[in-house]
Amino acid sequence: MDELRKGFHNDLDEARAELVRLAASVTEAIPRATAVLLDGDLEGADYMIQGDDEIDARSLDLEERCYRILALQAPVASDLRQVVALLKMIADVERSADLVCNICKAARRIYGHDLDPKLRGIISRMGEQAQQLYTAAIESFVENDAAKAAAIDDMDSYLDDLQKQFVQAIFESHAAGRIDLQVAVQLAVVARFYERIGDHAVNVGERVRFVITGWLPEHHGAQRYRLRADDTGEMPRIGTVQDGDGTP
Amino acid sequence: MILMDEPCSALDPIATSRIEDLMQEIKQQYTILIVTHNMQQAARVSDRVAFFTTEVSSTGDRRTGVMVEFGRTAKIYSNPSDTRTEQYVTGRFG
Repeated sequence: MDELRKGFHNDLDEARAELVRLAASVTEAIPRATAVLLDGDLEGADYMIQGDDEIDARSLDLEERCYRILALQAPVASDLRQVVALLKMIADVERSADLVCNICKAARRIYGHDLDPKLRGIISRMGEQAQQLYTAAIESFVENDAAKAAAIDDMDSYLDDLQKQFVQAIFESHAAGRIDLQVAVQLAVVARFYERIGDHAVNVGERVRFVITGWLPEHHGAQRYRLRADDTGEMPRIGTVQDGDGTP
Repeated sequence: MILMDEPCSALDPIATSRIEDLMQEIKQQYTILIVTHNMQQAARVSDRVAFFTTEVSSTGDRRTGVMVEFGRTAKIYSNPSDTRTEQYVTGRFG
């Protein structure tokens, strides 16, 4: 049969495409921020920091586009999950762009300080891993691939390990007197930025799974909470009403 | 049980709201079965939804009415089980 509501579905496809473009901008910015940090490129840092305004503007435009779709088209079922997920993903992508920006700001603060080859190596690997996570998140979104989206969580564990190794390497470098305390603190914060970018990619992957299945990993925790509340006889704070049919 | 067959067809939004409010009120005492082609109205007023369609026979033009899915309204409109329901509520086929 003929598809109805073509205009609405075109709007939705266009909103999805814009999210992909936004996320692609962030993905491309991650290696550039790493290069700015490792090369002490002050001009590059300023350029990247200014570039974040464009991401902010595009995120707002896309958010408003989603509000319009909700208000004017009253989407339901998978279309509704799509728009709700888009709104959540915009926030993740926008925040990731801010974190990329923060890496460039940290680059300005540690300008002029030499870093150990070991520290530089782990920074490179964290940047590569964060970029791979984001690439996988976008691909799973474009391809509606729940399995690929689920795999992002495991990829993130490697980034978390790198962050821990990096913090250890900072301690060693500081103890040996090769970096001062101020630089050590800045580097620890940078590691946290990469790790958080990875977390946002994981969130995007979770939203992709939600669009496809209507399920979120938090449902496990919510279920545990309800079971615990049942054991203790206390009323859970979250409604568990399944029917809501108003019958007396 | 009260049967309502397109109770708001051709009515303006205010008159429609009055009927929908009345339905909420009397559902405490009566079960209401409403037939509507207005998807938003079905979402607003019902607790459970049944989605019906017709199947055309492969050998002739014989058409048979079939119930595709019956379930809680929130489920039908947020994550229906049957692909045909999904396609109908999202306007992908009509």
